Amino acid sequence: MQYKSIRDMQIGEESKIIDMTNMNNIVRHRFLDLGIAPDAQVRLIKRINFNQLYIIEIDDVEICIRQKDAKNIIIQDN
Amino acid sequence: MRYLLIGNPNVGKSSIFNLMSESYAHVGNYGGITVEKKIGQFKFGELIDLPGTYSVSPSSEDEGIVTNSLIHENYDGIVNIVDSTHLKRNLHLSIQLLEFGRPIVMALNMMDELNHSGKKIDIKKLSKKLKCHVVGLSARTKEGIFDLVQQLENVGEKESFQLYYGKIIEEAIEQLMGLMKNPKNKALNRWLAIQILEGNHAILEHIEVNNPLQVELIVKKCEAAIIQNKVAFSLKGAIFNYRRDFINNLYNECLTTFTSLNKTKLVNQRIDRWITHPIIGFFIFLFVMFSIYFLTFDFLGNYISDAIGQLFEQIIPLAKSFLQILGAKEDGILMNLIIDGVLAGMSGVLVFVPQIGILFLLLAIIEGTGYMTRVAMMLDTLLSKFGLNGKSIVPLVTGIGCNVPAIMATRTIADKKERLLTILIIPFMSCSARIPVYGLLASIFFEKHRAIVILSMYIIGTVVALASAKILSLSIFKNTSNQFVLEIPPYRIPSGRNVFRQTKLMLMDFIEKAGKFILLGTIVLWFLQYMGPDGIAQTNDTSFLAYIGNFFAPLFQPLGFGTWKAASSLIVGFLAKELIVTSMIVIYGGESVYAQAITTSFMTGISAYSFMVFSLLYLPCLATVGVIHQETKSLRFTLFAVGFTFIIAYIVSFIIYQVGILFI
Ligand SMILES: Nc1nc2c(ncn2[C@@H]2O[C@H](COP(=O)(O)OP(=O)(O)O)[C@@H](O)[C@H]2O)c(=O)[nH]1
Repeated sequence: MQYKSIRDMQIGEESKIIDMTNMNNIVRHRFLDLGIAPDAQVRLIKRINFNQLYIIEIDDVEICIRQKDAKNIIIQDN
Repeated sequence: MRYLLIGNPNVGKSSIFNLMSESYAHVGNYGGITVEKKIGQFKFGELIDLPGTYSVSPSSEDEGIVTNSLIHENYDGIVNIVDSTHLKRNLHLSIQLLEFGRPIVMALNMMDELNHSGKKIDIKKLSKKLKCHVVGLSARTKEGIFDLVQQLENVGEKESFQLYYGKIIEEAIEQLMGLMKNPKNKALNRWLAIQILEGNHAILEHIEVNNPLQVELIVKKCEAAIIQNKVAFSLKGAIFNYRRDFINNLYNECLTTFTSLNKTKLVNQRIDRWITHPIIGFFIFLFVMFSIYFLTFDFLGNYISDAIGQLFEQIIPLAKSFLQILGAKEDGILMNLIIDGVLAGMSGVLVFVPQIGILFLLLAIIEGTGYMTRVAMMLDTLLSKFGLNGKSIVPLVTGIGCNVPAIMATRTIADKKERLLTILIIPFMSCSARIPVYGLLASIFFEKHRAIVILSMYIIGTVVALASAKILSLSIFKNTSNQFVLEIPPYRIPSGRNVFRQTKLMLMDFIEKAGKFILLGTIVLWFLQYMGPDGIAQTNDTSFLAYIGNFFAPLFQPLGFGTWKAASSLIVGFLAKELIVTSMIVIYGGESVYAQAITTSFMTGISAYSFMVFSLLYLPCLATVGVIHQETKSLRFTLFAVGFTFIIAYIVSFIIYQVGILFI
């Protein structure tokens, strides 16, 4: 089955994070502290730096992550 | 009474700290570790400012300080500063602090913004649910600050706050609590148990448990059970989920929304479209940097500095006649020491204080707007090609002001290797103490192109920094973990009070350092060049300083400045880079004649230029070396940093001089 990640989202699209187990532990913990966690509602605001960085919004907070991390955050495909 | 100020980054902690503390008391060390901390005095006691953190469980050096202080610092209560506009995220930290069980007051900051966005918080209800005092306030409008001070006066022992973490985790908590050395303090032990389960490994360095192996086993078993029963994907994740559920309930109960139109957000996103644009954004960044530069050196700074220079020219003859009235001889030793030594040396540095002040002021303003976060994002992709990280840009830009706080600012970089790499290249960023060197030499040799010549120093510094980072990341610092995640705060108009205060602090620091180091340095220096092996030196070519300088001079011959005078000012400059200028003025004969003496000694512009480049790169000053050691706790690394910068400086100056003389 093909999983959908934040990398595959459209600008403005909103969805729920369902899995982050692909990330290494340290990074995942760091993300958790910022509210990036399974079950969180996430919205893609835009991509910058020639699609290298992803700006997402969770709980009203804008957060900037790299593409390689965005790829590892699996979201619900709706 | 002493209180710890704790909160997420960017919640207005410094603003509140500045508002509340009447006098900025002192900078000391945190209990246990040697990191500078800010302590402010207020009506009922002291406030201790801690770095912003998202969690008690540290994932960067900065956050480790919070855990450490909670356990080891001596205090009567905690002030948890919360950004009321981002309640959901902020409350995760609050819960960890509430569980800790010490007296606590929660300060809901940014109430003005919350009201603007059409929301309202039921503070009474929140306070009841969290079993702690809650105060709504705004550091911007100053509303509620008085209430907070009032609350602090009578903050007492609190009702304990407990969150239920489900059967599996609760069982593990029980078991862990049984292993604690001091079984009496229930709340603390529960907190410790939860922290351990959360993966706060640092906590185990601070407490003793009866059976460390058993602890590990319990954590492992609990994690396995969590995954097996599909509670969550990890133990930390499970704990996070329970907290989030609690917070979401709380949020729904205590927060009401009147209008959902959020204007600020729209404006923000519109601005960001330009600021973070890959090409336009980059030019905006360059424009901002150049503006800072020209404001500091060309437009404003120069005029004020010239005025101060003239003031000194007035003072020196005055001091001279004053000393004569006191009975000092015209050519006596005392006259010589004070006029040609201390006064001349001090003035050489003090004339640059206005420029440095302007630089600090502009940096503080820019930091206050939230622009640096955008720069960090924009440059992340570029900097990651050099083995760095977008976050390195804040320390690097701070380094233009002073290398010492810049090295401390690297604490926010989570990856150890990226952090060390950033520390290594910060000394190449041209700090304000180097301004006097450029100013002096550029005005003698490059009168017409002063601004361009000085600008080139900054460019050379930056290029060398990036190139070194590249070389190091390909050799010694391979395989960084490469993590980057950044919260983007909304744009804000920086508060005048904060900016003013920060500038004042940094400037006072500079003047104090200049005062101490330079006064002492000048006196020692003056004696070294006044005395020689045969008593009072007849000419300064036979002084002690000349002997020392002559020893090193041949080393600098290929760089174009192999004179003992240049060599000894560089040696002295290791103490503090301002001293390079001070010592040149003293060595070259004091106030009135040095300019001409310098001209004849360096001969050409190209050797003066090479000297400027060498002063820029050659060694971090003593204070910077000290802070590198303090931050890395490694003597080897510190020595490496010193050796590395020296070698790079030598190579670059060598190339510049050797290539330069081909064309002249
Ligand atoms: N509107 C508004 N802005 C605030 C308030 N408190 C702080 N700020 C701004 O928020 C930004 C971050 O504040 P600062 O004190 O540096 O936060 P720290 O990182 O937590 O120390 C600054 O631009 C402040 O001017 C407030 O109550 N209302």
